[in-house]
This record gives sequence, C-alpha cells and structure tokens, in this order.
Amino acid sequence: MKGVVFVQFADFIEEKFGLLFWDEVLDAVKPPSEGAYTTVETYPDDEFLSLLSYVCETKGIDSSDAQVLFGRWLFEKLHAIAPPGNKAEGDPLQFLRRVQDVIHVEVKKLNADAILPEFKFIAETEASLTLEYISPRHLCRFCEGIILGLGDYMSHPMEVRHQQCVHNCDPSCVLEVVKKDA
Amino acid sequence: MKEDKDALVSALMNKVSREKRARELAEKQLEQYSLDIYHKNIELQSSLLKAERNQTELKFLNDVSSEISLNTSIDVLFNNTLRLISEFVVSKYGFYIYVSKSDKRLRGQFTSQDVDENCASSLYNQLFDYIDIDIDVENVSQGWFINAFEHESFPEIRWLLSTTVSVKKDEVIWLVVPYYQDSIDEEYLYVLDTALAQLKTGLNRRTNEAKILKRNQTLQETIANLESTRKQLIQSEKMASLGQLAAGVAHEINNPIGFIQSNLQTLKHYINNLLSYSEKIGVAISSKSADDSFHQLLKKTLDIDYIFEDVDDLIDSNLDGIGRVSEIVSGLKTFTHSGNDEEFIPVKINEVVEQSLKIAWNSIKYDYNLTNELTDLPTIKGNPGQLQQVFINFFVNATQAMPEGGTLSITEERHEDFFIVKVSDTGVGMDEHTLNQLFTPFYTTKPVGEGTGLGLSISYAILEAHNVDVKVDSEINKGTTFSLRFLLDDETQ
Repeated sequence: MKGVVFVQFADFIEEKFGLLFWDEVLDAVKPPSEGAYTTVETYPDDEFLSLLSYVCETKGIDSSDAQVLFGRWLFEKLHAIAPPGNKAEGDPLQFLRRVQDVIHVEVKKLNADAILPEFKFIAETEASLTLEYISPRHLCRFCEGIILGLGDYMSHPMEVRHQQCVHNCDPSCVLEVVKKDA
Repeated sequence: MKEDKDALVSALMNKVSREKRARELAEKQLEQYSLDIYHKNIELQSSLLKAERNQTELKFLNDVSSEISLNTSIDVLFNNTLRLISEFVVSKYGFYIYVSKSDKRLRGQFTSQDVDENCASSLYNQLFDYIDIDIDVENVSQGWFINAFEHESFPEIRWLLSTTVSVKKDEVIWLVVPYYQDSIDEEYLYVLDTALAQLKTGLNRRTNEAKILKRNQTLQETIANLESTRKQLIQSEKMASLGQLAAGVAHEINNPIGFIQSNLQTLKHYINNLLSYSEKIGVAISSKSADDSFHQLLKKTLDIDYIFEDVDDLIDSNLDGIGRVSEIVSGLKTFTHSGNDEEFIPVKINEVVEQSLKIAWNSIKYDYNLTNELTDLPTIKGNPGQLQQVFINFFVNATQAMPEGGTLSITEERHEDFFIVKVSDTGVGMDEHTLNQLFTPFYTTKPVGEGTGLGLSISYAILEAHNVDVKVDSEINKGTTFSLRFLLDDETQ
C-alpha cells in the first residue's frame, strides 16, 4: 500500500484521538517501519490492517465503519495533492468515471507497482451510478468512504448502497452510488 | 499533570524522531531517484547516438543501393560508390584501381574538398608499400582487408581499408580507402561488408542484364530471319503452283494468239486484195474503161464484199483475243506480285475469285462444270495477290480431287457481321486422317514430285492473317467443301 495512505492515516488518528494515542498505537503494534512513513515508499498491506485493527479494538469501533470514516476524511487530502486537470468538478458521478479512465491511468504512470481497484460500470441514470468494485484488497467500505468524501467535497450528499458484497459471501461487490439531492 | 506533560513530550520526541527518519528515508529515495534519472539520461544519450549512427549507416546503405540501381556506366558506379564509402568512414581520400594479369592502373579517385589533388597522387604512390595489390585475379577474396599505415607525410592516416571486386574474368577492381581513427568499429565493418555485397550483386545483375539483352537481340534477329524465310516460302510456293499451272496458262494464251495470228494472216491477204482492187480501179479510171460491169466483176473476183463483211469480225475477234491475253497477264501479275504482307487494301472476294478462275481456267474448262454464284460481295481489307493464291490452290485441288470430272461450285452466304464463301467439289472426298493433316506443312496425298505439301498450309496461314475462319466438310466419294468466313470490318458494315 502506498506510503501516502499511512502518512494520512497517522494524521487522521492524531486529529481524531491525539498524538499520544498514535504514539501508543505504534508502540503497541510495533510496525516494521517503526512508523517513519514517507509518501513515496510502499508498505505491506498487513501493516495498515494491524494499525487499523488496534485502533478499532482499543476505541471500540467497527472495522468497516473505521474504513468508511477514514476514506471519507482521506478524499479531500488526496484531492489536494492530485495534479491539475484531475480535480473534481461538475458532476460527481462523471468524476467517478474519470477516476477509472484518467486518474488511475495517471497513478499507474507514476507508480507502476500500485495495486488499484477496477470499476465496472453497470448502470447509470442522472442520479445514480451502479458499479462493480474489483480489488484483491476487498476494501469496498474504504471505497464507500472515499465516494462519500467526494460528495462532501462537491457539496452533493451521496449515499452508497452495497447491492452485493464479497463480505456477505456474494461473488462480487456491487455499489450503487446515489446523489441524495437529486 | 507532570506525568501527562512528560508523556506528551515523550510522544512529541518520538514523533520528531519518526519524522527525522522519514525525512532521511525520503532523501535517500530522492537520491536513488536522481541516480536512476542520471543513468536513464546516459542511456538515452547513448541510444540517441546509436540511433543517429544507425541512421547514418542506413542512409549510406540506401545511397549505395540507389547508386547501384541506376543505369550508369561501371566507371561512374565505382566513382560514386567510392565517394559514398569514403564519406561514410570520414576519409579524405579514396582510390579505385584496375588490376588484371598484365596491368595495374588507377581508374578513379575521391578527394575531399579540403585536400590537394597532388597529395592524393602522393598518397596513391605510397599505397603499395602497405597493401599487397598483386593478388591472384582468379581467386578474389571476400570482405575488407585492414592494413596498418604509417607515413610522415600523412600522419593522420592510421589504417588502409581495401577490398576487391571482380568485374570480368581475370579482371578486378581494388577499392582503397584510408581510415583516420585509431580503432575500427566492428559495426562499421559489417556495414561496409553489406555495401560490398550490394555492389557485387548489382554488378552481377548488370552482367546478367547485358547477357539477356544480347540474347534478346539474337532472338529478334532469328525472328526477323524466320519472317523473311516465311515470306520467301509463300512466294516460292506461289511460283511452284504457277509452274503447275504454266502449261494451262500457256494454252490459254496460245489459243487467242493462234487465232489472232490466223486472223492477221487473213487480214494481210484481205489488204493485198484491197490494194489490188484499188490499183485496178485506178488503171480502169485513167483508161476510161471503168464501168459498172467491170466494177462488179472486179469486186467478185477479189471477194471485196466478203472482205468488208469479214474484216469487222476479224478485228473484233482479235480485240477479244488480245483482251483475253491481257486479262490473264494482269491476273498473273497480281498473283506473282510478292508485295508486302502487311499491305492490306480494299478487295472484293468475287473479283479475286474471277481473276483466279481465269488463271486456273485451262485446268477446269474441259472436264468440269463450273458454277460461280458469287454476287457483288462487300469490300474487305486484304492482300489480293495472296487471296488469289488461296483460291487458285482450292480450285486446283478441287479439280485434282475429281479425276473423273465433276462440278466445282463457288457459293456465298451472307450474314450481318460476316459472309461465307464456299468452294465445293464433287470429288473423291477425304478420310479423317487426311482431314486432320490437311493444313500440316509438307503433308501431301499427291505422288512424289507433284505437290509440295505446302499449298494448304500456306493458304491457311494467309487466311489466318486475314482473320478468316476455315471450315472443311468432306465425305468420301461425295466431295469436299471449304467454307471461308470473312469478317466484315466496321467500315464495311
């Protein structure tokens, strides 16, 4: 997983629970990197999951909910570092399409080893977009959080309905993104 | 409170230490990136150089190839190729030297613009101290020789590159190019080898082309000879058939000549009578003894009334006889005129048939009935002499096929785009074997010495040249019909 996620996760925890708690997390989990994260490095997925599960256990939060929260918080941070021409403008559902066709392509150019989710667009109306989320990481709730963060940023409240989910033993994850103000 | 502060300080210290480590890691990564970029840059530059060099090499090979494909003389080809090679290896000079078993001389040289021609001559004179040019001209080696070169007048030249190209049997061309770099790149040598191979292939191609051209000329000459022989053959066959007809033609001419001669003798006798009549009347008038009874007696004695009656007939008969001879002679003239095969003029087949009948008439008139039903046929383009030859041949063959006599019929059939002329006899007919061989040259059913076996084959060739289709129907003991289909050309339709 790219270092930017770890750096932002550290900021997120510090912001939500304070520096002392993040220090405690690192002390308890003892990640191989010792918490000295840089955005340019790539770290093992397990390291992130260990940190996340410690936070959830200690604070009594559901792991899925924590993914949504972090994703929703993360969108604006990621958006801030996105290069010009890839900013969220116009219709949020159209921007989601561009994530797949343009932004993920650009990310691959810079980080050839990055593992990116794939979206298969199934149906679309003015107010909703149904897509299949395909990723070996199965972080569909994290994805939901990021989509909600997009809605927050563009001031279009959104709802993400999990029509199918691999965590519910479905063959795939199908998300229906609905504009709540439409 | 103090414990909280201590904990916070400790956490902050930890954070600072993490940030410091993270910064160090990031800097390290940055350095690695810089190094990677530097190496990539070097790689790119070297790729660019390589690409530029490949481009130069390709251009050189392409130029050599274009030079070879041009139809220039061998000297121009070697001069230009030498210049390309010298420029490619960045040399100021280049020489090409003709070597045979008995001769060795400079045929061409290249000097770059910034050097003196005299320097080139001076360098040429040094060459043979360094390369052994007295090679075995029968065993020309492949590839390039590299000889070290060291001379105080030419301190920049390090090597001599040379190669041999065989141009003819026992004759080779040496190409010598001085090289200025300390070391010779192997790749350069590959490119030079390729250029050399191209040059040799090009020379082979030229030699082959020259051979083909020569063969082609010989072939053209043979075809021309064949054509002239064919024309001679047609003419001699014509003469041969004329020979066969000669007796008949002579008879046709002799007949009128005979009665013209006899008529002339009669006329001479008549003239004598008339002279005598005139003289006697003159004498009688001057002696005043002329009276009607004297005149009547004189007229009776000298047959004057009969003479006046007969002289018109005799003159008409002579004119008719001379007309007949003249027609035969004119027919023979068209027939024997060899003319030009390609010279097609407007002809009427019915007229050609009439002319032919006149020539063959003596062979026909005694034993055969003739039915000529041809009317005024449309004009076609053709060679009248040759067509006459064809019809005479058919008529003579027809009479020969009817040893017991019979009927020779010439009929016509008219169609929109063509007309058919049929020549039929009521003769012995032909079996299948003879029919199959009918147009084969030298095939004849006639006894040795009577037929050349060329008549019909030549007729067929003539008709083919006139675009005439020939059909033969024959039945044993019933007769044979030759059907000739003449196409009407656009103008006559």
